[in-house]
Formats: sequence, structure tokens, C-alpha cells
Amino acid sequence: MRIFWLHVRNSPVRWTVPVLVALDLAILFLRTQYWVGVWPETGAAAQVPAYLLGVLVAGAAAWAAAAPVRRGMQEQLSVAKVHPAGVDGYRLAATTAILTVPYLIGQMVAFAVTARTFPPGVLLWFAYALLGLSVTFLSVSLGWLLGRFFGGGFGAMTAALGWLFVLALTNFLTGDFVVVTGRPYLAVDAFTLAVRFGCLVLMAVALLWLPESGRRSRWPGQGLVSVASAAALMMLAVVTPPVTNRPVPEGEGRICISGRTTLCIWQEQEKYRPLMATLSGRIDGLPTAFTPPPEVREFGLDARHGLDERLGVSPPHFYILEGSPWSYGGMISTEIMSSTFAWRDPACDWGRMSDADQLRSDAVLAWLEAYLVGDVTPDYSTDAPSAMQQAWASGRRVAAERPLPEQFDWAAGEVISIRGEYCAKR
Amino acid sequence: MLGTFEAPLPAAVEEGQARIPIWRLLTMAVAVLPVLALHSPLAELEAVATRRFRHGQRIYLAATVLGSALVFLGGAAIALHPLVLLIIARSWLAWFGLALIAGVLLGWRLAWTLPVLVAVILFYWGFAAGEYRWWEFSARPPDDVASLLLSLALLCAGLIAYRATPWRRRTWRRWRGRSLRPDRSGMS
Repeated sequence: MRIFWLHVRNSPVRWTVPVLVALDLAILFLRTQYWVGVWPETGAAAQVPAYLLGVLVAGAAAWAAAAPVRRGMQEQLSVAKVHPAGVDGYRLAATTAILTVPYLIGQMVAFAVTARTFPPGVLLWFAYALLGLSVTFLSVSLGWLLGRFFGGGFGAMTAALGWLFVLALTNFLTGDFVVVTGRPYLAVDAFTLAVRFGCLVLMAVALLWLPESGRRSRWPGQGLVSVASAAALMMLAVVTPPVTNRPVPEGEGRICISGRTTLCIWQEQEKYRPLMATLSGRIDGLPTAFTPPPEVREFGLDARHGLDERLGVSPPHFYILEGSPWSYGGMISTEIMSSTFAWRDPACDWGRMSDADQLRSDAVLAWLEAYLVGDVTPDYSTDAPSAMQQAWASGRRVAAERPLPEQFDWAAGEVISIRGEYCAKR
Repeated sequence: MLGTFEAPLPAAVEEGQARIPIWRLLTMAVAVLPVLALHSPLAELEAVATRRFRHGQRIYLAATVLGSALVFLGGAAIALHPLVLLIIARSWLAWFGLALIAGVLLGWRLAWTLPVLVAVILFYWGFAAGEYRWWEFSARPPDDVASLLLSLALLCAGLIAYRATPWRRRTWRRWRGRSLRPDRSGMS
């Protein structure tokens, strides 16, 4: 251990730590803060810096790897009594330890921020933290590999760009190497994470057997075998998809708020409970002309979610995206309209609905959305046809300008008249 | 053609992922490369070298910059859209200036640090509300003035840093000293 600390104290990259810590915290906090208070989102948000810092970390690792070449110490090291893999092992371990510190500090700070409320689901955070750690290890290993081969000056920049090329390659191969959000219905798969760490450990061992530059290799093909195995292990580590769907939880795994419509969310999203309660209150206040569905659950809480929605087998669901009320307000209002103007209602014939009436129902939908959210300017953009957008604008105008009882009268009137035209009785 | 591959990188936007085309990264690499090439084993002696050496170094730097720029832009002209070449040229100036600043401060071999740091900042925060911010000089449209001015400013800063050899810094300090003490006779 003494030798390890000696290497850490004298490592050429120890001065990068303050810069990397500052960058990590900037990436974590100078962005939308919706991740605070939800463990999986916290973990995902705090592992995002690992990909970006990876550029600088790879360059720094290459710089550290090429230190003997820069200092002209290759001859001394090659005739030392210590096995060259031992020397490299200490240096690689010290470099990894130093370059992992900024990422760990970022995760600790994110943990502390969300731990103020401590909702359920800490293990999800931990899994994302390990995921980011594997990404950091990967960038250190890549930097070490390229630094050993290209030497002091060009090696570091090659490594920095090499990391970006690896990210481009993953985009080409799998598309989901870079994880940016931690939605509650997704989780890091323990098995693939273990496979990834196994590959990284083996890759580190392969890196220790790289031949010293400028010397004859100790056995034939040493360079080729070690580089090829390191590269292969890196590819394997990269193509394992880390994030999979979570199984549907039983009873306590979800928080439900009863009312005219029961709203259920994942228990990890406990911080949205007050918003859900407000929404439930607003649904309760709707006029009786509307028939809201009995239950709307957040996506993933029902085993039937995600099934083919065109066939209508998927039950009503919603997403809470980035804490935006428009994300769930919009979908819940669509579900209420779908159950009010039920396609499968045998008494109604929606097939012959005219365009003008379609636009009227669009206006009611927009009004309903604005009413449930409590705001009239949406935070999303759309490229729907302009007639539809005008209908929505008129619905939102009703929500903005008229007093509430008048809004209810207007909405109930529209629903009853549209239903009266196309439905047998009621 | 390699340049049109895209690297996914997290970005501070909704749904958090930006796709950075590789030509933006390659531009940075090729712009920084001549500065890295300034390193030599006698770097410490060269820092205090005289006029003739600096003259040779300037020619070397100019030659490598022009040569690599021609090769890269030539290759890009074949594979990429012509307007992209203007973006590449503008960002080239900025990357070169940043590389010079970092090279002067940290040593020629570490000239890549500041460009890479700035690149990470640009990629993460540079895109907001549907368009690139004014300071994103590697991705703004080719006719954008603000990022062009920024690139030129960075280039000038880099060239000034390059001119600030230890000899000149001493002279500048003496000029400042002389203007603060007007009663002393000229001390050069």
C-alpha cells in the first residue's frame, strides 16, 4: 500500500483533479434540476459527467501512461528487479484512483442532495453510480492503452479523441451505451453490469502486459495479443446494454391517490405526490358530462403497458417527464377524452364524425389539458396541422379568459352536444 | 466520410442527448496537432532562444498549420457540404488560438488540454432551446457573426500568448515600470 500511495502522491495527473471536480459539478448542476428527489434520476444525472469527463480523463490517463517515456526512464524500469507488470500495475492503479475521484465526488454530492428527502429506491441510485464508475474505468483504460502506444505528446490528444470515437462507435453498434435519464420504469441490469466490470478487470490485466515501447517484447506476439485482447474486451464491455425494464411492482411499489380517477405513480417518484393530489382534485371537479377512466397508472406499473396501443389493449397510462406537469397533464387529459368519447361504445358511431366536430373536440381537449395543468402556455412544441393548433389555441383561450364555472359550462355543453350528435341516447 | 459519423454525447437539453458529428472533433484535432508538434526535447532551452530560432519556429508553425489545413479542408471538401467547410475554417481559428494559449501556459505537449476542455463545454451546453448558442463556434451557421468574432478573438489571444516569450515579457514589465516612475531616466 505504501508504494501505491507513493505513486498517487507523485502521479503527474494529480493536478487535474480540481479542474475535473469543478467540471463534474458544473455538468451536474448547471442543467435542469428535476433529478433532485428521485433516486434513479439522481444516479443517472450524476453518471452523465462520466461520459463527458471521459474525454479529459482518457487524455490524462494517456499522459500518465507515457510518463516513463517523457522522463526517459524506460531503461531504468526495464532493468529493475520488479516485474514490469508490477510497475505498470501500481501506476495504472494510482492513475485510476486519482481520475475516479472527481466522478465519485459528483456522485456523493448528488447523493447528499437527494438524501435530504430520502425517498425509496436507493439501490437504483447505487446501480447507476456503478454504471458511471464502469464508464470512468473504461475511459482510463482506453487512455492508458493509447498513451502507451503513442507516447507523450500525441498520445494524450489521441486518447481524448479516441474516447469520442469510441462513443461514436457505440452509436453505430448499439445506440444505448450513453445513458442520460433514469426513468423509474427502467433499471440497470445487475448481470450486464457484472459482465461489464468483469471485462474491464480483464482489460486492465491485459493492459499490464503491454510491451514497453522501444524494447523487444519478451515473448513473440506480446504486443499483438495484449492489444487485441484489450480492444476485444473493451468492445464487449461497450456493447452490453446496461438498462432494462423493471418488473411490475406489487402493492407497496406504487403510490395511489384515489378519487374519481385513481392515479398511481412509482414509489420512487414520491416527490410528485402533492402534484398528483392537486391533479386528482381537479379531475374530481370536472363536470359530470366527462367520464374519466377509473384508474390511470404511470407507465410500467401495469404489465399490459406498452402493448400495441392501436389495438387498444394498452390500458391508460402517463409519463412524468423531467417533472413537467404538461407531460402527465397532456396524457391524462387524452385518456379522459378517450374514455368520454369511447371508441368502443356500441351506442356511438364516431366513424362519421365531421372535421368541424373533430376540431371542437380538439378544443375541448386543449381546454382540459390547460385546466388540469393549471397553465395555458405549454412547454412543448408541436408540428400538428395548423387547423388543429388553432383549435387548441381557442380551447386554451377559454381556460385563460373565462371564469371557472363558465369554463365548466362551456366544456360540458360541448361534450354533451358532440355526444348527442353521434351517440344513440344518453 | 468518417466525418459524418456522429458521436452521442450527453447534453444539457431535454431528453439529454446530443449527436456530435465527428468532423467537429476532427477539426479540433487537426487544428491542435501543429501546436503539439512544436514540442521538442530541448523545449526548455527553446523557451529562451533568440530571434533566429523564433523565426524558424514561426515558419515551421505556419507551414504545418497551412499544410494540415489544406489537407484537411481538401479532404472535407470531397466528403462534406461546402457550407460545412466555412464552419470548419472558423472553428479552426478558435481551436488554434486555444491550443496556443494552452501550449504557452502548460507546455507544447499539453496544448490539447484547453481545446478539449472547451470542446466538452461546447458540446454539453452549446445547444439550447432549439438552436446553438452564440458562442458555439464549432456549430453555428457559417454566416454567424458573433461566433466568428469570438473565433478571431481567441486566435488573437493565442497569437499574443505565442509572442509573449520570456524576453518580451521582461520588456513589457520594464515598460510598465518606466511609465509608473517617470522621474527615472530611460532604463532599457
